[in-house]
Amino acid sequence: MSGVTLSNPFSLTKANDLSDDQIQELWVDIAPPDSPDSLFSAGRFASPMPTFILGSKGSGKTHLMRYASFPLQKKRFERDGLRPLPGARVDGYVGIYTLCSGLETGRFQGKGQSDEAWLEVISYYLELSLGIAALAVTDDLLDGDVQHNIETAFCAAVGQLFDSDPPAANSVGGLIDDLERRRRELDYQVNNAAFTGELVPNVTASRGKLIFGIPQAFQSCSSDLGGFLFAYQLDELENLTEAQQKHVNTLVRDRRGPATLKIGARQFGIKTHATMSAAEENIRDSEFEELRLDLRFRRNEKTYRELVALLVERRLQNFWPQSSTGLAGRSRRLADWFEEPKRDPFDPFFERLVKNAPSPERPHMVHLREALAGQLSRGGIRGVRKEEDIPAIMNAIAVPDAPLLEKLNTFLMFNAWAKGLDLAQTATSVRSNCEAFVRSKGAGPYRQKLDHYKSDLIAQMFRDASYRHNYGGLDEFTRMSEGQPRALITLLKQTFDWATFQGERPFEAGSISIDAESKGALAAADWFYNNMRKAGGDGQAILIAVDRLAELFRINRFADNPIECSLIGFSVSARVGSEISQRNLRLALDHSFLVEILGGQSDRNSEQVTGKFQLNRMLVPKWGLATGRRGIKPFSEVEMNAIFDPRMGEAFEKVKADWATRMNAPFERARRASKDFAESDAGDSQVDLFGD
Amino acid sequence: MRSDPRHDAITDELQSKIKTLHSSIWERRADWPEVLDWLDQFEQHDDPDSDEQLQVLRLLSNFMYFGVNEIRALLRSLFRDTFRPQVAKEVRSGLHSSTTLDMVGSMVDVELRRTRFVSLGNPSESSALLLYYFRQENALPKDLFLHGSDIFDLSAVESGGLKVRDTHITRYVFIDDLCGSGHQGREYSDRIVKPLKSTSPGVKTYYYPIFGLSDGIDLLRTQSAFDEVYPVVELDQTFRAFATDSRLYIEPKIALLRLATEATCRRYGDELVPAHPLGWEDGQLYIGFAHNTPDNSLPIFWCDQTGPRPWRPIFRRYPKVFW
Repeated sequence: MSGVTLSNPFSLTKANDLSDDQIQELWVDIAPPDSPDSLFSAGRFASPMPTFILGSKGSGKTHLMRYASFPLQKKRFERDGLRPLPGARVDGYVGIYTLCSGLETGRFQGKGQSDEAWLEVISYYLELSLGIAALAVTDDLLDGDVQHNIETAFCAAVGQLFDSDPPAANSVGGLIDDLERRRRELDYQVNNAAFTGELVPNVTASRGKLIFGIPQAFQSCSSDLGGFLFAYQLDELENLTEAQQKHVNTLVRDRRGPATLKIGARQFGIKTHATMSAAEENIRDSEFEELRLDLRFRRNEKTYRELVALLVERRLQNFWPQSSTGLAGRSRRLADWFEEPKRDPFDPFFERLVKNAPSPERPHMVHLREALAGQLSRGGIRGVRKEEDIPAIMNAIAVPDAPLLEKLNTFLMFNAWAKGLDLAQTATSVRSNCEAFVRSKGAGPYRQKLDHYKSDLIAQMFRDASYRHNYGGLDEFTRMSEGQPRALITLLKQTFDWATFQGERPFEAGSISIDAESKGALAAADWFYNNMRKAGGDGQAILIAVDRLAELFRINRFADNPIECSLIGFSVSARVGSEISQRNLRLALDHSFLVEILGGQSDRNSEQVTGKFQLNRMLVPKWGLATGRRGIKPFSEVEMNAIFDPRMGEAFEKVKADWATRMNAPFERARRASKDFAESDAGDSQVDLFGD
Repeated sequence: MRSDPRHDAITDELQSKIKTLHSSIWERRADWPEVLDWLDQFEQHDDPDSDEQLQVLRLLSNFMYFGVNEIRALLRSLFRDTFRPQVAKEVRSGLHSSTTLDMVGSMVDVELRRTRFVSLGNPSESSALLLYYFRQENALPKDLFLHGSDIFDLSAVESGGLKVRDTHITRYVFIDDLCGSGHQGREYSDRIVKPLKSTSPGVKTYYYPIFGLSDGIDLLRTQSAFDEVYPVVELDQTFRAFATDSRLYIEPKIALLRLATEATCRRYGDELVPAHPLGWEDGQLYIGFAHNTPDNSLPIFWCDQTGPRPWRPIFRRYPKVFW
C-alpha cells in the first residue's frame, strides 16, 4: 500500500484506524459481491428493510459498513469508469456512514434538563447530522447539466421539509452550510447548558423529516435520479442510551421513501427494540432484519477459515511485500508458515518431554504408583490387595517408546479406579488395547480415547515437565479467534513481534517457531484480559468470574480423572443463579470473555433447555486450557453463584475442593454424595467419560 | 542458555521485558539473537542464582537507554526548565518586586543574546552533537554557540596577555551528556573556566550535564570554577548497580543476587578494563545513549575488543581514539 511502511503487517487491528484506501485494499470476502453467500450481500445495503449488523468486538462490523459506504463506493466507481449517479444505480444504494460515538451522545443528558427535552434535542441533532451527510452525498451525485437543471428545485423541496425558518439557500453547498450553522448553534447550547441552566433550541424540523425527506426530495426532482436507496449506516449503536436507541428504533419503524437504516452494534449493545410509536416494539423479520457476523462465521468454520486465510494473504500483499506476492507467488500454503504443536503419539518429542527417562521414572508413572501405594493400606482398590500387585499393573501399562500412550494408560487406570473396577483386569485390557493400537494405528475405542483426551494428556505432560503449554498453527489460531477477525489479527501481530524479536523471518524464510507462536498467544491473551481492567467495577466482576471459571477448568484439565475432556464450556439453565450472577454472566458475554455456544442443550438430568457458554478461546493460553472444546459441564445453582457472584468467595472455595476431590485419587468424593451439594440440580455422580 | 524449568521461568520473564524494551525504548538495538550472542560470553550454572547468564540478563533488563527523541526532550528541558528560569531568577533579583512579567521576559531575552553555549571537549565528540540538537530543539540562533577554544582571542597570546574574544558576553553555558566522577569537568574548569574568570571576573559560567551522578555534581560544585552546576537528571547512589541501596536489588528475593552479580561483573571487568572493572572510576552505571554508551557504565555492556580478551558488547561504546 503506497506510503505505508510497517514493521509488522498486522499492527493495524481496528477498522477505525484504517484509511479509506486501506479499508478498500484490505477488504476480503468469501464470495463475489453479487453472490448471496458474500459478506457484502449479507449486509443487504440495497434492501429497503432496515438491518441490524451485530457482532462482538472485532468481528468486522465497521470494516463491512465502511467498505459499503459512499466514499468507498466512489473509489470503486472510479475504478470501474462509472460516474457516481450511474454507479449508485448499479449498486442500488448509497451508504451514508456515521459513527454514533462521533455524535458524543453523552452530552445529551443531565445538566438540569428533563429526559424528554434531551430526547427532542438528540432527535433534532441526529436529523441535522444525517441530513448534512445525505446532502453531501447528493452534492457528489449531481454533476454537470443535471446539477444545473435540478439544484434550485431540489433546494426548494428541501426547504419545504422544515416546519419553520426554512433555509434560503439555492445550492446544495448552501444548504449544507445552513444545516451546519444550525448544528453549531445547537452544539453551543448543549455544551453550555450546564452553565447557563438553559436549553432553548430552535427545533425547525420534525423527527424523520430530513432523514427521509431529503432522499425523497432528491429523487422526486427527476426520474433520472431514482433507482437506488439512501442507506443510513449508523455504527456503534451501543454508545447510545436506551432512550436514544428508542429514538433510532422509531426511525427504523417509520422508515419511508427511498431511504433505509443499516445499524451496526455489539451483539449485546442493543438495549431495547421499543419505539416511541405507542410503545410498540420492533419485531425481527417484520420491522428489521438481523445479521450476526461472528455467529455467521462460527456456524460455518470452513467459510471462516477461508476468509481469514484471504485476510492474512491480503495483509501480507499490502504491508509485507518481502513475503513475495501472496500465496500464488510463494507457492506455499499459508498454514505452512506456522509450526504446528506436536500431536503424534509416536513423535520423539514426547520422549524428550519426559527427559528420555525409563518408564518407571516418568512423572505420570510415579504419580500412579504412589497413589496406589498410598491407598493400599486403607484398602478399597479392587484388584490391588498386596504390594506386588502394583508393579505388575505398572509393567502392564508401560509403553517405553511412546510416553504419550503410556500417559493415556495411566489415565485409563485412574478412570477404572474411580469407577471401582478391578485394576489388575483393567491393566491387562489396557495393555492389549494399547498394543493393538500400536500395531494398527487404526480406529477403535483406544484411538477414540486418545483423540478425545490428547490435549489434556499433553497439557499434563507439559506441566509435569514444568514447560509452558504450546499453542500454535494457523488452524488453532483461527479457532481461538472465535469468528472475530480482529482477534486473529491480534494473535498474528503478537506472534509476528515475538518471531522477529527472536531473530526469525516470518513469512520470508522458514516457519514461525512454536515458541514464538505460544508467546504470541499468551501476549494476546494478556492483552485481551488486561483490557478489561479499564471497565471499572463491572470489569472487576467479570475478571473475578472468569478467573474462577478458569480455575475450575484447570482443576479438571490437570485431574487424575477429568469429568470432561478439553473442558472450557458449561451449560446453565436460564432459571438458575441469583440476579447478580446472571447479570455478571451477561456482562462477561457482552465483553466477549464468554462466548455463547450455538443452540441450547438439554440438561443431562432433565428436559429443560439450557444456555451453553464457553470461555473465549483467546483467553485460554492464560491458564493453559484447551482450544478445542469438547466437554460441557452443566452448572448447578451453587456452582453458578459461586463463580459469577464476586461476594461468594467462600462458596467458591468449597466448589473447588469438591471438584478436586471428585476428580483426583482416591476418588472418595466421586462415589458418595456430598452434603453440601446434595441440593444441586446438576448431576453429582461421576460421569463415565471413558465408556466405549 | 540453560533450559530447565527453574531457569526457563526466569528467562521467560526477563525475555518478555527485554522484548518490550527492544521494540520501544531501545530503538530495536538488541534483539534476542544479539542478546544470546552477548550472554554466550558468560558461564552457565545449574543453580539459577549462580548462573552468570541469568545474572547479567537481569542487569540488562534494567539497562536505561536514551534514544535520540529522549535526548532531544531532555535538551528542551535543559533550556526551558533549567537555564531560562535561572536567568529569569538572576534578572529578577536585580529588579524591584513590582516588575511585570513582560519586563522580566524581555530582559531575559536581552541576557540570552549575551549568552554563549559551549560544547565540552573536542568538536568531533558527543557534546558537539548535543549542541546541534540543543539548538534545533530550542530554536536558538547559530551565533549563540561556540567551541571552547573560541572563547579567547588567541591573537593576544603572543603579546603575553589572555583576552576574551567578545567582551559583551555575560554568560557561558557548558553542556555535556553525563557527569560521572566530575574529574573531567574539573579538569575543563581548570583549563578553560578559571582563565576565563580571571580575565573577566564578571561573567557567569554554568555547567549543565543532562545526567549527573550526585558525587560528581557535588565535586564540581565545591571544587570547580563553575558558578552554577545543575544536571537535568541527577543520579544518586541508588543508581549505581551494586551500591548497598541499589534500586536494582530492592525485592528481597532479588537482593540476594546483588553480591554474586557484582562478583561476576568484576571478574569480567578485570579482564576487559583492568583499571576500571565496573566502569570509569567505579561508575557502576547501566545507562546508554543513542550516540554512545558512557564508560561510566559497566564494561560488560559496552566493551568492544578483539585483543587477548575478545568481547562482543550489547550496547557498543565508540571509544575516543588517541594517536
